[in-house]
Amino acid sequence: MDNKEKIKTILLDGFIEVDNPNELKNDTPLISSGILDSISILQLVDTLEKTFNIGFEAHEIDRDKFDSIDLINTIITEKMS
Amino acid sequence: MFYSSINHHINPTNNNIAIYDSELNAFSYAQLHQKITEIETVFKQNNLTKSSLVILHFDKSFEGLAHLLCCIKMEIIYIPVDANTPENRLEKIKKSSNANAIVSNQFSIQHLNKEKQNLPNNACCVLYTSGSTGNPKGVIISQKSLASFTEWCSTEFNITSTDTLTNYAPFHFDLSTFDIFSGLCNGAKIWLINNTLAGNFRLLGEQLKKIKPSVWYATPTVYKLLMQYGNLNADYQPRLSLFAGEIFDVKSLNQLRKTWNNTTFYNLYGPTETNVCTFYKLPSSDEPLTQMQPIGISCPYAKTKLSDKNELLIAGESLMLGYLNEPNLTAEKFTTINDEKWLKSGDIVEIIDNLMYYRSRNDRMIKKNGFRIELAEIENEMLNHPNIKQVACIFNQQKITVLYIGNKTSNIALKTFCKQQLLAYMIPDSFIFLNELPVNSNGKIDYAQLIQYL
Repeated sequence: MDNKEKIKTILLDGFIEVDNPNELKNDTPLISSGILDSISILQLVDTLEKTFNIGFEAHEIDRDKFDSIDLINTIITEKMS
Repeated sequence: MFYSSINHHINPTNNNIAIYDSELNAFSYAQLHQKITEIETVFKQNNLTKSSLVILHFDKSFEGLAHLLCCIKMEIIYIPVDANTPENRLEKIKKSSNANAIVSNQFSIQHLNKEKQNLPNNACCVLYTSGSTGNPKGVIISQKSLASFTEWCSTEFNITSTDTLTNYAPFHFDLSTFDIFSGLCNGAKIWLINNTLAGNFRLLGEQLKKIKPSVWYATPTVYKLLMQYGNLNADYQPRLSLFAGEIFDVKSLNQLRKTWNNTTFYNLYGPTETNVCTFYKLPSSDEPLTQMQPIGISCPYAKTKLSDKNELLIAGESLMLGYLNEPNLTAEKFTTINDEKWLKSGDIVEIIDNLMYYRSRNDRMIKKNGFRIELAEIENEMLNHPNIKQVACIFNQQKITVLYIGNKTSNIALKTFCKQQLLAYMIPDSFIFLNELPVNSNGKIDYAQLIQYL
């Protein structure tokens, strides 16, 4: 499973209810669309850190950087490299 | 006039710090004085004068606070509106308020209605809150209400110029009147927490160790998130922690008291319509609490009593002047007893050993994460969606669920729709499509039956 699929699985398992997983696309806005609320974002950051074994600095937790699967993948890839 | 009771320290020679913004820049009382004077000139050039009604629509900042204070100085009635308010909701507020102007993010003034309204004398500001008719409603707060509250807070909590107050709540919430006014009136420092910082508890936890605020006033949800994500420990302890807006569950409260073991805690209570009207100082012992804390006793400027159905009725100086341009709604909210106006709070309260305890609501208003929400407002907005024919909204286990009939629509599409209509904290958690909604014998939606679909 690649990272984007892993991120999607995390989102569908604990954060987003959908009838059909295809509704959640890699570029679906997550935060600016209201799909994730402010408390979910905090939980999502914690889950991403554990899953990918990375750590975000407090100032890096900028909502714009977590607004889609694509964007989350970018920030995670940067962290892991 | 209210401004004369809060402006003793706002003068050109006071170089003490008045404000820290969210980037931790410091601004002195002298700078605040200068900024208010500059804004006053601009307001006058724009024909904004005493009893004009102005919407303040911007994120929290030094400049934003100066605008708010300038309104109070000039007795311009202000309506603080969150920077993240969706366009549709802002339009509703513009229309229903009949405001004369709006000051928006870049501090530019846009004129709306020319005619001044006949607003109650002594009005200070209008705080918009969720409305059961489906539209937000504006609570008119008087100068007298804010003056009585500020005076009482200054004494009860002994606020001095050595204090730093955290201003976490947005300006459109009544909680922020404590931080701003009792802080400034006593020459204290105020730390303004804007939307970006308010949502990033990890950063907030780091910053508060630098600012070391001595006083906190926030909802229990905020304290819980600070404990969970803000890395709180005993190295930093405020001297005073006030909470209000919802029940603080005993387990989390004990955890906070254990971390902040030198802090004095108070539970404050009161709807936006009366601001704080009861208070309770928690015991200072280290003993864990075993039961829900009372809302306590009446503040000296407020009067309280129970109706025959145990609804808390509130009177006194902090009472709102009414809902803006909503005479019927205002009349419904008050009851007259012996020629005195009392507000029907909708809260069911029990008195044990002279202390009041909050028990429940007598209507469909809910509290989610400390936010006051009318489920009818969500239902009303959902009906604007082309695929929704009928809708019922319920609140169960801290989650808002919308059940609807019409054409089945993806949850993602419905959430995105809600984001364009509602404030973020009102967006429902989930949506359930049904072929029909259960009705009772009167043909009305049977809300009690809806739980079975969750």
